[in-house]
Amino acid sequence: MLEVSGLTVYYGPLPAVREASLKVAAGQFVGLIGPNGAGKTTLLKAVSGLLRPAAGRVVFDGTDITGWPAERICELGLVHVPEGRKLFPRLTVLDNLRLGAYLPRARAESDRALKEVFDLFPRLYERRRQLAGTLSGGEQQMLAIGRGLAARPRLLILDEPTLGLSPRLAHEILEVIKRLNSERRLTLLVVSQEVVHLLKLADYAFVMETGRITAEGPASELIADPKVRKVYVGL
Amino acid sequence: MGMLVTSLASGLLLGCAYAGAAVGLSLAMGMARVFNLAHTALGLTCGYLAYFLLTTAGIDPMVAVGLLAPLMFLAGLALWPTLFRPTVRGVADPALSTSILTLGLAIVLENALSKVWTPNPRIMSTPYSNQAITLFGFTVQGSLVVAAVLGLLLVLGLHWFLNRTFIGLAIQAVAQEPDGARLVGIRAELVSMLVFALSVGTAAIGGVGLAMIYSFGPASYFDWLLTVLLIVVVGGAGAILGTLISALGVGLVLGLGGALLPQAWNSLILFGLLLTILLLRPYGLFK
Ligand SMILES: Nc1ncnc2c1ncn2[C@@H]1O[C@H](COP(=O)(O)OP(=O)(O)O)[C@@H](O)[C@H]1O
Ligand SMILES: [Mg+2]
Repeated sequence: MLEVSGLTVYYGPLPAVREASLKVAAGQFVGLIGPNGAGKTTLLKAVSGLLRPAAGRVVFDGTDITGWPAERICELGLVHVPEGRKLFPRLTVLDNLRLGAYLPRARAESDRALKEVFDLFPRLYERRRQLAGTLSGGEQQMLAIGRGLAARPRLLILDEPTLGLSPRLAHEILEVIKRLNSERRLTLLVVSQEVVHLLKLADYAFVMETGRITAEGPASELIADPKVRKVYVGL
Repeated sequence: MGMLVTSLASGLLLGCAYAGAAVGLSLAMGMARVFNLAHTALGLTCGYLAYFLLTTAGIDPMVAVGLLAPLMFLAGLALWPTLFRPTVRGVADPALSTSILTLGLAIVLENALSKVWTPNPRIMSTPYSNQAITLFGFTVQGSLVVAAVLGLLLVLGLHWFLNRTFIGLAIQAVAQEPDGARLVGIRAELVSMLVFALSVGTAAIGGVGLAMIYSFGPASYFDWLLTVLLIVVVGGAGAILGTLISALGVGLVLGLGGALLPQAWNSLILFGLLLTILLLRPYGLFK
């Protein structure tokens, strides 16, 4: 469904991502792990069109979307829930979700999508009239995921949906994400520092270090890999 | 006492008229990050055009506003890709580059107005210009009431549009979090263009309003600009109702000051206020 090949992204003169390649097949739950500063966020931004890659290709469902602007990529159903959430802080929860369904394709189903989001995160329903900027970190993350779902994604990219959350809340969020994949067959590409938990839930994973993809494999194999265990699990 | 109350009432009406002249500037600054120093010059140009329509064809300025505002909206749509986008693109501080651009535009307009209509001051005289209107027991000038109603309708209409329509929400989304907006599929660039065109459209309403109240010459835009900037800074860029409240305050100072103090004190009080607010709350009182 998503095929990234030889992607290179610069900030000024410095490359943050170097010739990175990865694949996500339809229906798969794919994890992307790596230390801080490895270039995971940069890679995802270049996939969703927030950054322009210097080289390489991004193909989504057979369409070459390399260098397309983010708003066109969203239209195809590749939806990115970015690091730091990027919510609209002075709009209500409800308005954030409505804007998630901004595109005509999503707007037609916006009532149903909102109901689904509220079923998934009842807390958001209780707080629907509250301004997004006044939510707790966990609620904001739920809203960011909800806004992404309202856009009717076929591939949902989640960058650090567990960042800054308590371990319990982080696990709760990851479980919800897993359900999206197992119950609704939503294809997922997820970055998280909750490496062990992520690898337990994902089908497949890529490891990124200093801008390069350095390892990949079925998540269950990676979690057993002594090298991965040493770096990420601290064992 | 009676005079004091009357100047209070005229001050509030003047405030509404100024709110109409300021709200578009606030909108463009807050929602499209464009600092349009030509805002009042564009408004003044519309004032002259309304004057022209009135003196040559007897068209009432209220009707002229209905023609000029859509025309200015279209002018805004044309100015964005030709002048503004190239000035904003890839610039670290768009406020600086756009203010220099628009200052130039204002001076060009001033010279054009001077060429066409001479530097002599003009007065828009309509049948209701000097008619005394009694409102809630206060007697005020007819044209002031008309300008105030125009300004008030504009501000309330914009507030409604931004908060109650889907495209209004999208405008706020782009202003609050441009990347977030792009990720939900909003074409941020088009939205900025729309905001800018709206802002220029409102310049017509505010400008004709002020031209109905004051006698004006080609350089009047500068006096208007100072007052309007003061209102926007106090109200907070992008805060629509903040602009109204701030404009009412400025109107009161102008109205009361006009009645109680020599003319020169007015500016002193207003800009003393501006300096104090810039020092204490540089982001505005209502943000
Ligand atoms: N906006 C930016 N400008 C310049 N350098 C950046 C920017 N964002 C990230 N970087 C740098 O790019 C590298 C990769 O960052 P990032 O993609 O955020 O990594 P990760 O998400 O894996 O933590 C880091 O060295 C970081 O300092
Ligand atoms: Mg990151």
